[in-house]
Amino acid sequence: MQVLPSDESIEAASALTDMISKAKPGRQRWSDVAFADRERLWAALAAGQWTLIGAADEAPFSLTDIAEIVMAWGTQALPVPLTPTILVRHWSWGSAAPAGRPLTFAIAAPGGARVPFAQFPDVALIGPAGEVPLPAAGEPREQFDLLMPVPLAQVSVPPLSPAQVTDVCSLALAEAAGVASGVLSDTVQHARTREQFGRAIATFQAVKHHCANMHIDVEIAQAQLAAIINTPAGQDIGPAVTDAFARLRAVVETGVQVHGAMGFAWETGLHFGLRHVIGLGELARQALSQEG
Amino acid sequence: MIASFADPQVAEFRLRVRTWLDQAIAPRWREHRSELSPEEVFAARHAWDRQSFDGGYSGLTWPAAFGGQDFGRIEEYVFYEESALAGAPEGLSRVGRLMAGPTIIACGSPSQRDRYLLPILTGDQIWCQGFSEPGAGSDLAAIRTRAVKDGDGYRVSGQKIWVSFAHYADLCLLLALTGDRDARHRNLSMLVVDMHAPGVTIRPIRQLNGRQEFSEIFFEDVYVPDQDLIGPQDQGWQVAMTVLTNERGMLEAATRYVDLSAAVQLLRDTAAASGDADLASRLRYQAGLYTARVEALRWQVMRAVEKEVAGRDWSASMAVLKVYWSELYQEIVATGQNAAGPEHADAWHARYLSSRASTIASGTSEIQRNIIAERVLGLPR
Repeated sequence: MQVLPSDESIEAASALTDMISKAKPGRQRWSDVAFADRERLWAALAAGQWTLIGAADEAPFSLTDIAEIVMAWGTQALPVPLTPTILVRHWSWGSAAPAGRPLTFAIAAPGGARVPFAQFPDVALIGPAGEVPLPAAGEPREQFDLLMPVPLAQVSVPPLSPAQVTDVCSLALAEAAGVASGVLSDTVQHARTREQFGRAIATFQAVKHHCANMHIDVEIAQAQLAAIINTPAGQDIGPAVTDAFARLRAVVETGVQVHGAMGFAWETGLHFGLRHVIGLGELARQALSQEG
Repeated sequence: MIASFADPQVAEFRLRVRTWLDQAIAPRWREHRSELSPEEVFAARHAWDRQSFDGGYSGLTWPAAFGGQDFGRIEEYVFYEESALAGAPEGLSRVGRLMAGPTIIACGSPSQRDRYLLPILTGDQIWCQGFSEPGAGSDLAAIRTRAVKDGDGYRVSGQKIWVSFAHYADLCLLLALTGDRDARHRNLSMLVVDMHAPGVTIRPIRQLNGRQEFSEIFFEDVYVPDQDLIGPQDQGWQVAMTVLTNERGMLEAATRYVDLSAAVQLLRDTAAASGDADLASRLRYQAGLYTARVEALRWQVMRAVEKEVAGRDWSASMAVLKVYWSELYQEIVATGQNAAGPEHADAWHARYLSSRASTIASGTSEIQRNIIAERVLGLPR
């Protein structure tokens, strides 16, 4: 049992946040530029060896600790396959793959498999026996395309083990919790600075309570993550995963609400957070309902 | 002091507590609780305070120098969780052990510690908390009960409301106005009032659920000697915040986990008894989601406890607990109330009526959200 992440993982998470803030383009948390810049972002991660987090042959972090690092990653909602790469290395599937290459895995599905980040440049699809030929999945139109697992009829893989399903759900949830934390942070900042009726909207109780609800949901989702990671083998994690993702989506929805009409505008970028949480939720749902 | 729930000492402590509870809880309480008269319930609850003192489980986190057990928060959590799971009586010393005692340890004089701490631990003296008033519920700084200096003491006049244990209490931890009404937060004092003193009148309050668990207390020129002023005069607000931090604590959330789990089980029983297959299926699905949500409560408490033990900032994690468990409980109970068949209707109806207080007592959901927004997220007042 591990209730809280280790101090080492908290430090690592903080270091990753620092690195990203220097590497990502512009100051805005989420933008179309990140999508266009995705290969350079990946190169920065690889150079810092962040792509080896959780690798079995490296100093092992527990799943709770890896989740802490992935959560920090999630605050940026970047369209880069760090989490799938971490998972593949954690399962020791990618030991033959070059350290800097983006990796992904497949989830067995009716008529083929679903592959997250199948459209990411140079990504390698790894299975239990090594690299699996990855058919061309088409050019992604936008960030959301990259996030949603791509159905590929030509790919055939064995089902993930129950422990691997827990790993996928846990890290997808961790990343989503990070996204939600980022939205909460931005929403609080917006509420402090946006003025209406001669005062900051943060002084209105309705807005305060929206923000408080967002905080509650982020905290509880993190508690649910801890519960899921520590669930004994053989017990159903489905309801907890479902509830936690619904909660995190509600956080981003409320963030849009507090931003008012600006929240609905593309340029504010909150839709990246919403789509990111939806994509991660879909990944978890597919892992839970995989074929076989 | 145990620092992590993963420590093997936790399991050892849990087993020790469980073993003690097994022999300490009277069979009649365990098996025939619903048949006991109110007098028998009172006697059992009062006896439980002495039993827990004799068993070494009174004043769990109090320093040993003050008669406590010097346990850490993790042991305290385990004890309350196991007690709730075992259906142990809830003693009458809650206000004394969790509020008055720690407040006197932190802010009281040596004389107050000598006089009050041991009887709290043994259960020989029962305390109540006199804070809220008809005009001062959420806004505690607006209280009007006044304590006027009179020779070597004070004369207290006013009214308190929603007081638990008032009809049993020997002593009242009272917040009173001692300064200028306009000097908000700098005009209050904390006093210990003898509930048997002349001028004290107690009137039970009948609640929405038909029960009488709270009272009003009327004070008419009740004399309180100087030696029963806790902390300096006019600095009672700081003392009150110490009390309220303990009241809105994690322990209530720890024991509510057991109540919520029992409510979810009742939902499963309701589903099993339903003759409507669709309804039963929906209830079972909902019970599955609620199980996950209730488990999240347990993990949130453990996270807050470990953060506190580690010296990390735990206030943000703590702040969510009251809102979360109280609203989840109301939702579960409303689901059961809406779906109940004849076999479980009474059980759900009683729970439903009682649950309406969950989001009001010990700090309303609205106040908790304001606290989260202002103190945790830093939004402006």
